Amino acid sequence: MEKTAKILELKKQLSEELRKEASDNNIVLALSNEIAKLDDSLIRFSVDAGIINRLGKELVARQETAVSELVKNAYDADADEVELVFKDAWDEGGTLHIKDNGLGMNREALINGFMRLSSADKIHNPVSPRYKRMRAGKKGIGRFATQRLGSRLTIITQTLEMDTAIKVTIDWDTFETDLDLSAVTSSIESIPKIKEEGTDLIIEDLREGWSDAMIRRVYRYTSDLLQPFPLSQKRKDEEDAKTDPGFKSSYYRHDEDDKPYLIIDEQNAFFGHALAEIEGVVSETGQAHWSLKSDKLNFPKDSFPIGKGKENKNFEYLKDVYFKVYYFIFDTSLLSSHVGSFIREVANEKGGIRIYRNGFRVLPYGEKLNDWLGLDESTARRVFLTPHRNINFFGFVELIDETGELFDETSSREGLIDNEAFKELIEFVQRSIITATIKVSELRQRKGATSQKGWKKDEDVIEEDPGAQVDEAIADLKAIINNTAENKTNGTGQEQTGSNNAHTDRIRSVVERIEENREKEKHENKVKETVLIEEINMLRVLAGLGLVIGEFVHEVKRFLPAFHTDSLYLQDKVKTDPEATARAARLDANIKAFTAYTSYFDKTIAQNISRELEPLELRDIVYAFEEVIKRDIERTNLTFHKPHFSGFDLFTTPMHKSEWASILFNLYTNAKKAIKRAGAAGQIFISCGKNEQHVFLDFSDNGDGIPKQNEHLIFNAFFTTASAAGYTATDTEVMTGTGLGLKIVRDIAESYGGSVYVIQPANGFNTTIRIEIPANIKAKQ
Amino acid sequence: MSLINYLYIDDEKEADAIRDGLNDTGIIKVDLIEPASFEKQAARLKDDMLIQYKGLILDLRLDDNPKSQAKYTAPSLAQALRFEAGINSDLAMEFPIILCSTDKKIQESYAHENTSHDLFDYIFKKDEAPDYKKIAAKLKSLAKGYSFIKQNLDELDNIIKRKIGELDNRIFSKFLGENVTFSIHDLASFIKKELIEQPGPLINEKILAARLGVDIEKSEGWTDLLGYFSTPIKYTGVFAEAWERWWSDLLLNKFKELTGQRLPALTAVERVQLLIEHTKINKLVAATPLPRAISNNFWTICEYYQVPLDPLEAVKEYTNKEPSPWQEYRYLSIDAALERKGKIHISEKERLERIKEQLESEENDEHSA
Repeated sequence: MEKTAKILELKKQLSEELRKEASDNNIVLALSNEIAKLDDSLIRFSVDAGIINRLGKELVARQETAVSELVKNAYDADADEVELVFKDAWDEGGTLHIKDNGLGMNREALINGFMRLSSADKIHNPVSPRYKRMRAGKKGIGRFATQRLGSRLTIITQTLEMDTAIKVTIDWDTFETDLDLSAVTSSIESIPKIKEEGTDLIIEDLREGWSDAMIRRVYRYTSDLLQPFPLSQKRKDEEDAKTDPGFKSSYYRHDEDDKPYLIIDEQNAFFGHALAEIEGVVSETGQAHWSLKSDKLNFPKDSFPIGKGKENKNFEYLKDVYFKVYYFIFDTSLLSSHVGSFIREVANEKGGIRIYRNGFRVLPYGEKLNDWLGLDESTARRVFLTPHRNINFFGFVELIDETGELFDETSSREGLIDNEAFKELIEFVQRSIITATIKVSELRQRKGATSQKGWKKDEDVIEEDPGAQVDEAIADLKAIINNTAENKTNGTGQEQTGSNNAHTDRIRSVVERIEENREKEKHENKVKETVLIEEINMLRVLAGLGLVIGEFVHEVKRFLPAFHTDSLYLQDKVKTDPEATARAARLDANIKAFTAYTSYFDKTIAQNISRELEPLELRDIVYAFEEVIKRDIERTNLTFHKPHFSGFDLFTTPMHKSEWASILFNLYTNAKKAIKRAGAAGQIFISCGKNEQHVFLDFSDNGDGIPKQNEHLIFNAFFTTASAAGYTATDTEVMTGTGLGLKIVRDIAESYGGSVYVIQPANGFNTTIRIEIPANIKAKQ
Repeated sequence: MSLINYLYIDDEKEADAIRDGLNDTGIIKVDLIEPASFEKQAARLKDDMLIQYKGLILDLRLDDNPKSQAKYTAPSLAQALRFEAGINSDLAMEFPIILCSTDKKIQESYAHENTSHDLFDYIFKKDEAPDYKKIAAKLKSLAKGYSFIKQNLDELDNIIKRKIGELDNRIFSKFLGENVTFSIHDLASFIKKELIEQPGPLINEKILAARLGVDIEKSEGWTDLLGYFSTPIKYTGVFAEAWERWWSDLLLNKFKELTGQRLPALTAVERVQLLIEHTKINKLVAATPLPRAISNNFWTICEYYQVPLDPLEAVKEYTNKEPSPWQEYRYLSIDAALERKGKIHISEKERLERIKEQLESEENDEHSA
């Protein structure tokens, strides 16, 4: 029996080997396997060493996926930072070094985990040990990923408890076909620790080259791990050590003879694409301001005061607070589609504003579905129409409160105690952010008018109608196709092929043009539509408000005669009592003031009712306006100078009277605000005139003036100098600062081919705004 | 003497206050009732008015309250009452009818229709703060006037306290002659609207001042001066208690009598000088011309600014009825007309255009100079 003899021979060799002082485990394993294979009644699978290479290639198709799997492994190992360095990796043969500060592996974990195919670790432990992270990496892919990437792997790993680190080197090329898998060995050695804990993977002799685009793609593949927020400090006390501080990855390239440089990290993956950065500070004394910076909208950093209530008073409780928020609007006109969809994907899960108290993250603020600032609620209420849901922001609030006097966490660690300071915090952050988004809306409008690329909205630029371009391109395309067809039928023989090719190229370029312009058109329309919808919504709210005021005034008016009658009666009846007489006189004075005010509103509304389109003489407009505001002027101690008119028959093109009422009221309201800000004895002056084709009205006031840089902005929608009221404010409070007033003035003027602009202030005034309307020369009387 | 009673029909919220306000003046007594259906209302009015009321106040839109049975407006009720009184020659049913409403409603409905305007003797607005004393005085005077006319129907001289023969005979022609019939309301309303309210034989205080060349605002002596122009120059006929007027022809006579000079030929300065000289009332100031006017040969007033004006430097004002030959036009100053304050008479349009052109070219010359 040849087989029996062979078994005997093998057993002999095996026992000889085992008897040696230092037996070779490779030989022992190989002999045991040989023996086992000769078993008569039992049969076993064996694994060819070539499987490693095959699995590597089959399980991990793309090299980007391979790296992202290794990053996920770092996350699963509870690392909070991982750094990847691609060394001389433009072409194959480079090195990739991945360093994390995770838990690391001890010898046992390495052998039973990393070195054991199909290990059950991730099945047994679906969450990570320290921070209870849901495991992100795919089961067992890591080692194959390293094999897929390069021919040699070095692992240096250490845990907190270990005194030394373990270094394993695997040469994947030794896993040749026809060798038994267990027969291929790799070296393991003990070396001094290189860090407290964590794992380094050094993948050498990379199988493929890496471009920057590929590296950035890896980053995006790990989107579900990314949290663009500052890392929380790790708590010292065991109890809370499990609060996940966050996770960051950064990717560098290190070429020979050069310093390492950054390819991608949080900053340029997220923050660099933010439409705006919003920051806010509350000082030690409760003084607060917020600031806005937007490179995309050419807006250098600028600060604005903010505080409690509409008057922006200092905060009573709140102090030592800082916040920083990155603002994103997911609009294809602002973010390229792949960057946009990547950021949005992350924002959907992680977007929001987190709180860090003395450096420690406080939960649940900024978690998914947590709306501590009421941003989602405010958006749902549609009071402010700018995008400001939690997913539009990545941001954090930093509270410095060493003593815990201001903010303390609830005993159940479910957030901060809801005290006055916390209420002020909400008001501060929320109002700052919403005001900033309104400012951004306004800046976007300006961009619409001035940007070189993208949509052209400025009326001075002749609009290239993408629709027309598409039509033209389609016509071209048809002509070319017709030509081709003709050539084929009346063909001149041999040359056909050549000219056909040329035609094909032309057709292709035309088709490209069509596609390009279609895309452009879509974007453009979308942007315009959004802006329009915002405006229409705001106008709808304003119109509703107007109706309510109208109804209110109408009802109130009916009480006035009775007030008057009874006041007269009282005055007469109490004549003999000096105290009562004084009271009755005061009552009467108040009733008169109230009546004046009601009449002011009533007349305003009455002027707005007229819907007739007719040429209007500016005198009629101005005198009617003067009549309406007369009582208000008296009441508010303003001086309304005698209007001045140069020339006669200052007829506008046919317009609605109510439109002029709107124009003048908006100007008047703004002037009153400016005068109030300036604290001056208010003066208002209207002068009118005409030139060849236009009549004009100049409205002057001695308020605080308009800074030169704002002159062209003030007519944009949402431009306002007021801070946004809190989202809990009433509609009326919100409306008084919408910044739509002058925009309405501009819209009216422009709809008649006129214009509105700031001119050199009239003598003795600080602001003069000119409304210019085409003249109706024929209209007389 | 008991107060004059008015019946007031209104169902608006503010009606109580209006009634109380008028009553509180102590000048008249007003009873308020809610409107009934048309027939009922007309029938009931007959009884009520006969018994105790001297006048009727109607709210313009009696049909405005959805809960009320009344589905008619004040003009239709007033028309029915006037008609009844006319065909029956029923003196008891002749009384002043007053219209009241809010400014808005008058603008919306009443102002668009002229035929009903003759039905009412007086209109007042209920808005905000009515001047109850003034309204009550007018209402009282109207009621008294109606009564007086009823009692002295054949004595026109007595009604207007002036010999008709001294006046232009066209004025009262329609009320004189054989087989001439007219209602009390016809005559009362003619006297109030044509004789008293339109400048002509009678002029108001402002025009009186213009003719005397006096600036009322600046002249403390004005009231004293008025003493020289009391009866008979001052009108004392019906409605005089609430409408102060002066006979324009008698004024000229009086001036001549006082100063020995003919008033029309003098300037305001000369007129005032003579007045001071002859009355010894020193605190009189001559009126000065408006902007864009130079003459102080005042005869009338600018209806917009209500200050003295020479008609030669004025444009006629638009009125919804052309004045009769014995009446005077109302005027606007050139300045008011150019500033589009007030409505001008169509015949003045071209003249005003020429003035505008001239002024514009002057203005341009100034700029280019």
